[in-house]
Parts: sequence; C-alpha cells; structure tokens
Amino acid sequence: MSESHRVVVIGAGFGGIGASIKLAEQGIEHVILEKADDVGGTWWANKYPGCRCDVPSHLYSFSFAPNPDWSDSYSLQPEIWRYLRRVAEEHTVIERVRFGCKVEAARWDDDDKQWVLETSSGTIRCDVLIAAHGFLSEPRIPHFEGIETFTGQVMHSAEWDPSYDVTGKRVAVIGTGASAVQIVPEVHRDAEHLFVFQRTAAWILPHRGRAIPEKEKALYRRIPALQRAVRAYHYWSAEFVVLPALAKNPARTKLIRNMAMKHLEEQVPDPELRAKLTPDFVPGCKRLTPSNDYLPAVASPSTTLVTDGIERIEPTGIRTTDGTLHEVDVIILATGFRVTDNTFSALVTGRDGRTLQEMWEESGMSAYNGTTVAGFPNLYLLVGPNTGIGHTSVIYMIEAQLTYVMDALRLMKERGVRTFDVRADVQTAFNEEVQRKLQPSVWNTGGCVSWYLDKNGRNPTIWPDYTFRFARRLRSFDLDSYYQELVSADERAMVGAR
Amino acid sequence: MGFLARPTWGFVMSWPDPHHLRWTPTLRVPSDDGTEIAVEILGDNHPGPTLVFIHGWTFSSRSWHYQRMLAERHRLVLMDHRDHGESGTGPREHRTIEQVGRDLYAVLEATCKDRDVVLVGHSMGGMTIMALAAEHADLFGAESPDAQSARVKAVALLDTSAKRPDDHTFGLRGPFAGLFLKQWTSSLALMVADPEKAERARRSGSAISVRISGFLNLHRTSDRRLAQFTEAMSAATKAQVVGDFWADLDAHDKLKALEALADVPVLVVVGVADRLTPVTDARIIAAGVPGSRLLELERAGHCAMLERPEAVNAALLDLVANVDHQPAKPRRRSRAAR
Repeated sequence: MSESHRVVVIGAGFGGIGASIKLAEQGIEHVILEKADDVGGTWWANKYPGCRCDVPSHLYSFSFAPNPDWSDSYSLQPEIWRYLRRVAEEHTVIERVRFGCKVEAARWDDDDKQWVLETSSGTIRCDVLIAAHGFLSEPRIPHFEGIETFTGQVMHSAEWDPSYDVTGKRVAVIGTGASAVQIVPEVHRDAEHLFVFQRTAAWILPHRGRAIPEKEKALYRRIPALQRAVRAYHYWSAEFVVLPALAKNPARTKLIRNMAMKHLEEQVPDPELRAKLTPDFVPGCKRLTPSNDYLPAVASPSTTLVTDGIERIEPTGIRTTDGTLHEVDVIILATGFRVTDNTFSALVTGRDGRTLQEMWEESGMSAYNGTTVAGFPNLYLLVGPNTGIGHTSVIYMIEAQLTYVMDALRLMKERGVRTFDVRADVQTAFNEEVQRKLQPSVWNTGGCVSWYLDKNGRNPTIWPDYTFRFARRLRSFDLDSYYQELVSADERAMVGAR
Repeated sequence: MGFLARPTWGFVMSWPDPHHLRWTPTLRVPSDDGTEIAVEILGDNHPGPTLVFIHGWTFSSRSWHYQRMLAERHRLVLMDHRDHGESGTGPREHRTIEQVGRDLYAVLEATCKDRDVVLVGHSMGGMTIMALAAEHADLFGAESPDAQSARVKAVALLDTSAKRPDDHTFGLRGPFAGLFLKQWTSSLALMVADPEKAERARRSGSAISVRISGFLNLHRTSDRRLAQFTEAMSAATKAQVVGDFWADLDAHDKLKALEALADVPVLVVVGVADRLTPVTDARIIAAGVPGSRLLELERAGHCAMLERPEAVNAALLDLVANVDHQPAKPRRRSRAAR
C-alpha cells in the first residue's frame, strides 16, 4: 500500500506555505512536496542581483502575518525570502515539507477517488490535491541558434549562479522585462561593457521605494493598526486608481505615459537613444516596471543598446541581423517564464484520461474561479488561470483562493462529500464573462505581445476586475456549481462506529 | 467532443402556458393491464441514446417544458403516467408505484427496443425508475440478456426519494408544521374517501390554489408563472388519482432497488428548497448509489427542471456525453459488492 494523505500541496512558495498554515488551522492532515531544497518558491529560485518585488512590501505579505520590520518599502528578494522562511518556521510548516521531492505525474484514480502522484520519492496518494506550483516558476529559455557553441557563461535570471562574478567582463543581457530592468543596473556597475538586447522597449516608471527608518518600524511594531492602515492605503489606491485605467479604459493610461515620458526625458538626454527607448504600445500592456537606475545604466557610455534582432550565437558572442558580432563573455537570459504554456499541466491527468494540457490546447488555459477545472475532481489550482493581476499583490488572490478551498474541505467533512467536480457549463460561462471583461483592457488592446497572452491571443492570465470582487466570489464554496460524489452510507456508518 | 464546448441555446426560453396542457400523443402504448399510456416522441431521427422522461405526481409530460429543446440533439420520449395527462384511466387498485414501473417498461419496449436509453425521472417519476430497476434489474448496465430490449445506460433522478422520511414536515417548523400536516393529511384522505366533495373543495385556478402549488413545488424566488403552470397541471389531475397515488408514494421504499442503479452512471438533482422530497432524500440516494453524482441547485424547490432548466439541461447533456464515452461500467458493481 502506497503512502496516502488527506491533502497534498505541491510547492512551498507563498501559495503552498499559506495553504499549509490554513490546513493546519483546520486540523487537516497534509504534506507539502517541494522540488527545491528550501521554501520560498520563486523568491528562493530568483537570486539575481537587484531582484525585488514591485508591489509595496506592506501589501506583498500575508494578511495574517504582517511584518513590521520591512527595511524598504519595496523589498529586495533576500528580505522577502527571509520573511517567508520565518513565517513557515513560526507556523511549523517546515516540518511538513518534503524537500527535493519533484512531482513527475499526477493522475486521478476514479475507482479509489484519489489522486495518484508519481514523485522522485515514490508514489503518493491523496484525496485532495492543491497545486501551488506557481505562476512564475518555469524559466522561458528561447532557442537561439548556436547557443551550445558559446564558450562563455549562459545564465537565465531565475537560475542565477551567485558565485559567478561579472566584474571586468563583457556582458550581454537579453530581454527588457521586469527582471532585465532590475539586473541591468547591477551588472552595469561591475561589468567592463554591457550589451542590452532589446526587442521591445519597456515603459519605465520612477521608482518610489525608500528605506524605512527604524523609528517607523518601531511604530508599526507598537501600533499594528497603523501598518494595517498603510496596507489598506496601498490596496485601495491600486484598486481605484490603477485598475480602472488598465482594465476598463486604456485612454486613462495617458497619465502613466506622461509620467514615464518625463522620467525618460530626465534620464536620457540623447534624443536618438531616447527614441529607441520609447515603447510603441500603451503603457500597462506589458507589466509596468519601475526603476530609477535602469535608464541611466542603458544610457551610460559603457553600455550598448542593441535593437537589431539576434541572428545566432557564435562561440565568442552574439551576431545580430545587421551582421555585427557583439563579443561577450557572459549571456544573461532575462527572458522571463513559461506562463501560458507552463508544462505542469502536462503532468496532470483527469477523470477521462486526458491531461490538463490536452484540454487547454483545445480551449485555452481556463478554470472556474481560477481554481477548479471540470473533469479534475478535488484539484485546486492556486494562482490558476485568470488570477494574475497587473496592479496589486497576488498574495491577496492566493488568500482569497485559500478561503474557497478551505470552505470546500469543510463541506466535504461536514456533509460526507468524497469529490467535488465543477460543472463544465458553469466553467464555460465563467470564462466567457472573464474574456468579455478583458476585451477592452489594456492587456488585450494595448498593442503588444506580452506573457499575459497565449499563442492564440487569448488572455488566460489576468483577472480583469477589482480583486475584492474575486475575493467576494470565493468567500464561500458554491455547491450549486459542483457535482458531488458522496461517501457511501456503509462507509459513513463504519467511520461512525469506529 | 470538446469537454468544455457547450451549446448555447439559439432561442430565448419561453414560459410554459397553463392554458395549453392538452397535446396529441405520437402513440398510445397499452400497458400490461391494457391501460393506454400516452407517449410523445421528439427528435426521432437522432441516433445515439434516447432520453426517456417520466414526470411526477399530479403533473404530466408537459412539466418537461424546458427539456423539449434537447430534441435538437437527442431523441426524446415523453410519457404521461396512467390517470395523468393524456393517458387512459386504469383500475383504482393499480394506482401504485409498482404499476407505473410496469407502464414504463411497456413504453420502453414499444419505443426503445435495441436502443441505448437514459431515464430521466422527476419525483414520482424517479420512484418509477426505481420500481423498474426492482423488477427489471437486467435492463440496467451494459449487457442486456436479449439484445432486443432497451439498454438503460444512465439515470437522472430529479427531486425524488427512495424512502419517505418519517419526520417529513414540508420544510415547516414549529406549530405551523403540525397544522399544515393535519390539513394536508385530511385533504388527501378526503380525496380518497369522497372524491366528488374533494373536487368541489379544490377551487382550481384560484389565487390561493396557485399560492399553495407554488409553496409546495417551487422556491420562493421562482416566478409566479411557474406556480400557475404547476397548479394547472395538478388541477387537471383528478382528486381521487391524487389521493390514491399519494397513499402509495407515502409508503414507497425502494432503497434496495438502488443497487441495480449502481451499474450505470447516475445523476441526482435536488433543489435546496425542495419541500416534498427534501435535500436529505437526495443525499440518501447519492450516498446509496456508488459513483452517482449529486447536484444541489440554489434557487430551486421541488421542480428543478422548471426552475433551473439551464443547469438541469447542461447536467443531462453531461450525463448523455458520459454514455457516449463509456460503453460499459462493470467495475461499479464490484465496488458496490466490496
């Protein structure tokens, strides 16, 4: 008989740690499977210099575990990771995590009504599967011809080798997304020469981060309500100022545009370079990236901004389509993550023998309430399809989903339910609604190719409405939308007699 | 078939008309005692499984108003119970669940020979399916002894019960429950004892009668036009028939027959505000039939197929799709036996 649990959580990042804490509160037996050697998920994997969160720290944290000690209003990766590690330790999550355990397949067994997981440490069965494998967990490594012949170092931002020193080297950074904007200033400081390979320019906003003085921290420690107020301020201003512009009326992004243009003019005096750095899409279409150091680093004489396409990679450098060979010692791929084609979905096989990936190939990545998928009973996706946001903290979305999942687990126990399987018609209607709301949004109409969109131009990543509406939807589990299979009368009697 | 692809109905659903309950049967099937059962066949040209609809106590096949549109994709057979709707009148002593189960068998023999069948029963119609299962368990499941019979491949039980609970109070509490029960029992007794007098006392079509029908059959938020419709169907059923069948319904116990259903996919649907066959009844069925799927619908009382047609129809299509995908489910029995 293989190992069996009530609940298995895949991943020990923000989602997995939060899930474990809530499960433990309800006294539900569970185990967390984590492929890495420590908790933290994306905040453990991403260790590139300058890595930080572009959501205010007071908001980018669990509501039930405030941290008065944030040293910066926008924290750097090490501090976020230390926060997560501390929360995990304080709630004894660590002892429930199985580290170095990679899930290779998850299959629904409709005879025993259980998920069967094939992992690097053997077969594990469970009644309920919570997939907290993450949104930004799988590096996207584009294929460049000849990359294997390159004699120098190649690193993806999420697979950074901290022992590698760029001092005095010639460095290429490919990409201009969120991670590139953070890496470039850091690398520029030490490198002999920096090449930034830009396909599309990014809208750079002024960064408003500031160090939080000791006195302020002490104040938050003394008066927790004060920190809650700051958190609420960040939350509501994002909801009512940023979201309406992005989701409802892209014309209103003019303000963001003006701010970014002014920032650009101040930091890049050369009009020719400035033209190259001016994006041709509506701000917000790609994730907005704040930085005060990026543009000066790009404008520096020791940096070359390359806007020609990459033809191939040669042993000594990168050859662009104009025929130039840019000789470099190290190539940094700041090319982001596989979001709309995350390979995790290929591992999960549902009731009718098809994988999530096969289903999503047909219909596009979709779920009900971003959490459940028809034909995949007792599976809950954390940060699933259409739960991403461009304006606020994803932790808020995770907590809303956890409320929903915990309510489902409560109902299972109270009412003797063995499986919940969402109605396909409900899931379809939900997604029609979400896609309809996305139609006018900047993510769909902004004129850019972003990781928010899949290869068919459908948007399976963004929640297009106020996040409190999402939380309200998921405040309690809606039995109406689910098929239930009940624990049989005999088994209930057995449990009762025990 | 695309799992997520669902048809969207190309027309707006219309309200059922309480003034047009009469209809012309496609054929009349004589049951084993000679009573003629009125049958309507829709979408006769569709291959694939036939959906057979069996209505509830005091209603008629017209109660499947919103399910008729499924004929766009499937062959449908709708029947009126004996002494209901367009069916003939049978002997009084034959007003039993067992007999309507035999009527259903006769209809299946006449309309669905050598075909795959999905049985859809509401209330007493669900009990009719259980009665059929008790007598003809061999029809349920993949292998039928002679290939000539109908093969029941799936069953949908809407707002029904396998056994009436002893403490049934129509969802009422307190002194009100006692009062209502007393009135209810005496009215039904009168229908059996003195049908003429009961008929006169019924005041069919009156506002109070509509109110009572809505109270018993529907969720409080359901449209009054539905209450007018359910009232009209009940009013068209003779008082004595109502009383006779109630006596048998009240004694109905088919928990055993549920075993035969374990061989086929079973869908159980119930409205959360069902007063006649409350959610607990549905949960007993769902817990008693291994592998069955239960749907508890909000904003619905005893008539989910009228109050939540979009959900019921989608669930029926899911059930039929299941039949298309999985020809046999023999393992279910082994589970039940385990």
